[in-house]
Amino acid sequence: MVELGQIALILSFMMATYSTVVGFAGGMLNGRDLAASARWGFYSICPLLILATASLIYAFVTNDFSVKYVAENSNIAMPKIYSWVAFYSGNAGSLLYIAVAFSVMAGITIRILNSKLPYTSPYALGVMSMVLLFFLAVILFLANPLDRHEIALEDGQGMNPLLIHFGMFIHPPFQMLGLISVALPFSIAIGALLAGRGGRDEWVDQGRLWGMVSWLLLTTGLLLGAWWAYTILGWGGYWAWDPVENSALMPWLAMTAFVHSIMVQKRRGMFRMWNMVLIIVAFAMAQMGMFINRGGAVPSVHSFAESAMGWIFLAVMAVTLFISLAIFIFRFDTLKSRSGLDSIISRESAFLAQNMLFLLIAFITLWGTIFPIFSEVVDDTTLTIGQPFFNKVNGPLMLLLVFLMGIGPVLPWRKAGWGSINRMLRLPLIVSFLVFLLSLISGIREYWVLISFAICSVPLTTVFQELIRGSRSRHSHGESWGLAFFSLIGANRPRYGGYIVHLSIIMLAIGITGSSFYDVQKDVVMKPGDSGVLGKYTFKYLEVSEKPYPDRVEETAKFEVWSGDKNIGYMHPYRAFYPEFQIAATRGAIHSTILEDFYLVPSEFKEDGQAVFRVLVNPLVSWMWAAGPVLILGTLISMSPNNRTQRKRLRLPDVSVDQNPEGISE
Amino acid sequence: MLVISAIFISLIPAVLVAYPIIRKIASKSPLPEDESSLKADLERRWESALEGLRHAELEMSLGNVSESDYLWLKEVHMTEAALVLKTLEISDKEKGFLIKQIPSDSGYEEE
Amino acid sequence: MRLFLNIYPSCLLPFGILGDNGCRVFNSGMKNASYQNIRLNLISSLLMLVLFLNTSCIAANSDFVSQEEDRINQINSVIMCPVCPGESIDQSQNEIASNMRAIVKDLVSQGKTEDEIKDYFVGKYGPVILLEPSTEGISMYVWIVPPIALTFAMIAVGLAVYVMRKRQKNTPLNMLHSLADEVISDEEKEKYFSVINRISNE
Repeated sequence: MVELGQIALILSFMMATYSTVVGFAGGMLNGRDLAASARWGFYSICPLLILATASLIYAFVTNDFSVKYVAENSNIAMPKIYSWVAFYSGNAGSLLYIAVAFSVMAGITIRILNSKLPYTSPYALGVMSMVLLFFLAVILFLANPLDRHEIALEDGQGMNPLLIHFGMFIHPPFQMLGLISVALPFSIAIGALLAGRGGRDEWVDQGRLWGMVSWLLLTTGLLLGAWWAYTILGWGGYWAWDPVENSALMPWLAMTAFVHSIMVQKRRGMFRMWNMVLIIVAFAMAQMGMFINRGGAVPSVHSFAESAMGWIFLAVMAVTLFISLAIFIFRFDTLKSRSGLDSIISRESAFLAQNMLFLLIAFITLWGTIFPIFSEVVDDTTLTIGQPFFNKVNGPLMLLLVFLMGIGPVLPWRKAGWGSINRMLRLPLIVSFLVFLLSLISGIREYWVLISFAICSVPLTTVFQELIRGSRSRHSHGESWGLAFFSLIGANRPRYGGYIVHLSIIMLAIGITGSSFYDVQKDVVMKPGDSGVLGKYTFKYLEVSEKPYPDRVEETAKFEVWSGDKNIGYMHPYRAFYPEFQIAATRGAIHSTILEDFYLVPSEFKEDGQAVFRVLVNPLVSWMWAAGPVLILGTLISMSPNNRTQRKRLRLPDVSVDQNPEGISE
Repeated sequence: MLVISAIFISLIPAVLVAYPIIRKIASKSPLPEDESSLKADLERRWESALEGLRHAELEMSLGNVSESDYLWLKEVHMTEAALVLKTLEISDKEKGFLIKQIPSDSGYEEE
Repeated sequence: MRLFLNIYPSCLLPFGILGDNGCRVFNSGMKNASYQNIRLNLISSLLMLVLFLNTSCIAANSDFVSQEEDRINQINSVIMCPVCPGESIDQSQNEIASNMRAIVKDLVSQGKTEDEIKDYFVGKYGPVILLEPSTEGISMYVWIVPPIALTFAMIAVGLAVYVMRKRQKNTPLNMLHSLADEVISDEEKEKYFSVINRISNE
C-alpha cells in the first residue's frame, strides 16, 4: 500500500511538471487542446494524491512502524482515533496534506476559471501547477513521509503529547488550508498579468471569490488556534505573538486588506496596480508563514524544528516575490486605473486608509518577529520581542481599525457630503460618548478599556442604525418588518454579509479587551480538603486520582466549585506527564459563562499530597469563541452569488442594429 | 500485484492528458467568450453602472447621501449605462473609435 | 455593592434588549412601531450591554488578588523562560520556569522594584531573557521603527489621495457627459434612460 502511495507521489510530480509546462504553452500558443490537456493533467493529480495520503493514513492506522515517519509521529499507546490525523502532525506529512488539499481546491478553481475566464485560465493553471510542483518536489526529494526504514520497529516515538487534543482535528488542517489557499487568488492575478488581461478587471470577480474563501479559511485557522491554545496550554491565554502565530497573522492582515480593496476595483476600476502588489505580498507572507513554521531561524513553540528545509522555503519565497514583481513591472502599463477619486471623503479613501493600517500592522508584526535575527547579526545581542511590544504597538492601531470599521458603512461610494456624514455619525458618536461615561461611572479605570469599549460601540451603532433605516424604508413600501429586514440583507449580500462579519470582529474585540485587562490569576497550594476563593468562586479540592497509561501518567484533581452561593458542580483538571518526551500536558477545567471563564489548572502535584494550582478568572472570553460562527455566517452571506432575478437584471439587453423607435428588444 | 496496480494508476493520467490532444475536443468546440473582448468589458461596465444605480438608491433610502449627491450619482451612472447601450448599437467600425473616447480607459485593442 | 452591581444589569438587560416595543418589532404584523422608539431601544440596549460588560470586568477585579501577587504575575509575564522558546515564565509549565517564579516571588517580598528584578535576570542570562526590549542600545530601533513606518504610511496615503484626486480632475466627469451629449441624441437618451429605469426597477 505504501509503495503504491510512493508511485502515486512520483506520478503526481510528473503530472504537475506536465501541467505547468503545457499550461503555459497552451496559453502562449493559444492552443486550446494543449490547455485542455494541461487541465486534465492537473485534475488527475488530485486522485493520485488522495491515494498517497490514504496510503499514509493506512500506515498510521495499521501501526506500520517500518515507515520512518509513522515511527516518528505515533506509537501503539496513542489513542486510536488520533492515528487518523497524526499524519499531518509532522513536517513531511503536513507537506503532503498541503499538497492534497491544494490539489482539490485548485482543481475546483481551475474548473470554474475555465468557464469564467477562458483565456486567463491556462496561465493561472500554470502558476497553480508550479506551486503544487514545489511542494511535491520537496516531498519527493527532501521529506518523503512514505520512506521506509530498513528494519521494522516494534513501536514508534509517539506524537507530541500537546497535540493529543480535539483541537488537533481542526486547527492544523484549517490553518494549513488557509495559508496555501492564498495561492489561489495569487495564481489568478498573476495569470491575468501574464495573459495580458489584468487591465480590464476581468479577474476581479474570481479574485474576490477566492480571496474570500482564502480569508475565511485563514480566519478559521487563527480562531481555532487561539481556542486550542486557551484550552490546552494551561496559561489561560490565547495569543502569544509567537513567531509562527505572527507568520499566520500577516497573510491574514494582507488578505483582509485585499478583500476590501478588491471591492473598490470591482466598483470603480481603481486600485488595479495596488491589488496586484497586495496579492503578491500576501502570498509572499503566506510562504513566509510556511518557512517560519519549518525553519529554525526564529525559535517558536510551534516549529517543526527542521532547519534546512525552512531556508529552502525562504529562498523560494524570495524567488517568487522577485519574479512576480518583475512580471508586475513588465505589465505595469496595462494596469492604469479607470477612474480617480471623486472626493477625499468617500468610501474609497476610507478603504485606502484601512489598507494602509492593515499593512502597517503586518509590517510591525514582521519587524518584531525578525528583529531578533537582525539584532543578532548586527549587534551580536540576542533579544526577545514578545507580547509587551506587540500589544503596545499593534493594540492602538487595531483600535484605530475598529474605529474606521465604524465610519466606513456611513460613507457612500464616490462622494460624501459633510451634511449627511454629520447626520449619520451623530448617533454613534453620542452613544460612544455615553458608553465611555457609563464605563467610567461603573468603575472602569483602565483607559485602554474605556477607549476600547467606546470605539467598539461606533461600528455597533452604525451597523444597527443602517439595518434599521434600511428595513424601515423597505417597510414603508409595504413589506412587513421581518420581511423587510431579511430582504434588505438578501438584496445586498456583500454589504450586509460584510457588516455581520464586522459585528463578529466587535465581539472579538470585546472579548480581547475584557480578558486582557481584567484577568485575575492566583497560584495556590492545596491539599485534599482545602478550599480556596477567587472572586465570587469558591473551589474545594476533593481528591486526586492517578491513572497510569503506557506512555504517560495522568493525575486528575477533583474540585467542587461554587459561584457565589450556587454550586456549579465538579471540575476535573488534569496533568499528564510523558516521561519519554519530558513534557507535561495540562488540561485546564473551564467553567464558561457569558460573563467570564473560571479556569482551574494544576501546575504540580507534589509528593507530600500537596498540589499547586493556578486559578484564573478571565472575563468575556466566550465572546471571542461566539464570534466565530457569526463571522462564518457573515462571510458566507457575503460570498453567496446573486439570485436569478438579480442576475437577469444585470445582463446586457440584446440590442439589434435596426430597432424600432419604440424600444430596444430584450 | 503491485506492478499491475502501478501500471494501472499510471495509465489513467496518461490517458487523461492524451485524450484532449488526440481528439482535439477543445479546438472543435465553439470559441468561448473572450473575457477581454469589447462585449465582455461592456458587460462589466453595464453591470457596474447598474449596481451603482442600485446602490445610490439604497444609500438614499438609508440617508447616507444628500438629495443633490443622489441625483448627481444617478446622472453619472445613467450616462455610463446609456453610453454602453449606444456602443452596442453602432456599427463595428465606429465602436473602436467611440470606446477610445470614453474617459479614462487607456486604449483598446480590437479583438 | 459588588453584589448589587452584579445583579442589577441582569435585571435590566431583558428590558433593554427586548423592551415592549423591541419585542413587537420583529413580529410581521407590526406596522406601527415608531422609528423613534426603535432608536431609543437600540441605544438603551447598547448601553445595557456595555454596563453588563463593565460589571463583569470589574467583578473580576484585582482586589481579589493581592497587589503583591498581581505585581509578581506582571513581572513573570515579561521574563522569558530560558529553555522554552518564546514563553514567559508565567506561561511555561517547565520546572525551570517555576524555579524562576519562586525567585521572583522572593525578590518581590524583599522589596525589590521591577527594574531591579529585571536587571538581576539580565545579569544572569543576558538581555534575551526579557520579553520586552529595553529602550537602550540596539533595542531602541525596535521602538523607533513603528512610528517612522506610520509616518511613511500616512505620507504614502496622502500622496495617493492627491494623485487620484488630480487624475479625476483632469478627466472630469463632465467629459463623460459632453461625450454623451455628442454621440447620443436627446430622444435616444430618453429611450435609454427609460430602458435603464425599467431594468433597474425590476
